[in-house]
Amino acid sequence: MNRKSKDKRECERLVLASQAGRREAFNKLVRMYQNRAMEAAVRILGNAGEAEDTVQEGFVKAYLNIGSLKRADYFEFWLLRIVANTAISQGRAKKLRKQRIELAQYRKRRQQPSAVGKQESFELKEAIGKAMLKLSRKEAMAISLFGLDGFSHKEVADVMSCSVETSRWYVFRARKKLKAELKEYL
Amino acid sequence: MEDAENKLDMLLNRNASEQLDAVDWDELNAVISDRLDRTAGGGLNKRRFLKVASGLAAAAVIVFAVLVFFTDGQSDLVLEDGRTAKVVFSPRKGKALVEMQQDVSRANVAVVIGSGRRGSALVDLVTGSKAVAKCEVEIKDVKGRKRSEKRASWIIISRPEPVYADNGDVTNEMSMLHLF
Repeated sequence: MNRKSKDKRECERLVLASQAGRREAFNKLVRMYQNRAMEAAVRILGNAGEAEDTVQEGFVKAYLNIGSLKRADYFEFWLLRIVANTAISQGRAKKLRKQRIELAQYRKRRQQPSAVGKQESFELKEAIGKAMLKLSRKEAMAISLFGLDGFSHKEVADVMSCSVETSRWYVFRARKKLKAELKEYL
Repeated sequence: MEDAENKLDMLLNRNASEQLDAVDWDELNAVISDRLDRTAGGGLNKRRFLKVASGLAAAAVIVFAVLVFFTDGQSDLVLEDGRTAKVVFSPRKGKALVEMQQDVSRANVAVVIGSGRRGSALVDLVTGSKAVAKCEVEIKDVKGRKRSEKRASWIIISRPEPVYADNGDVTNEMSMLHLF
């Protein structure tokens, strides 16, 4: 049995235990999938700070609704869908408010001598966050999930409950928009 | 075209890995565990409590509606000047009696509930043949498909209009409110 299928079995066991009300089992699921969830959220939101809030919220939603998950082997897809939807919804509402604060901080930092690399990272993070806002909900979700390690259009389609062709279309549209928005960084 | 796509992917990957490098995973895990603890302690109990509470509230509404439908209503009202009035409702008959306690003024109110129309009427509370107060009776709703099932929901509001006491002095009748 290879490592991947062993992990999958372990995940299914933990999901069933969580559905039976065992908190410790859900804690193990959090440890197994928090990196994956963070990566999906960072890809949508552009920055780790907001992604952490989103991932916390996502896990709480998953915990409260785990009883409704019919297929234990779909836990990862189900969790990523929750996290991605939460990221898109919360991110867009918070984005404008945070952007104003961060813009003020950014202007302040620009006046002080700082490492060039750090400033570039900050600008990139901001630019990606803004560019992602130009995408539709489904485009943002598709391009972010597609970037995850080991995720093909098949997995993206599974998470989004759509066909592989539709996933391809969303990724194509998202790339086109992002290329236009981020052209100065390419 | 493909080159631009690769560059875009690299850019997104670079940002993601830079952002993820800064994450304190142990702290994140601790925060999530803490939130789950609070959810398990409060959230689920709260949800159960809300479910039970809403169930009880719904049951109470049903019991109240049944009681109102099948029984005549009666209520004592206290006016601001200390006087009291008794209101007796007969929902299925479409009648109400408003009766002042300290004096003998009273008003009989009848509505045609078969019409299914809402509206209000101003009635006098009388002592003998003399009006001592005005009372507005408003029909909030009339329900029931068949004529025999019709019943009215009432609201009685006193009018802030002069009340003529027996000695001819003018006083003000204040809020007198009741809902059936």
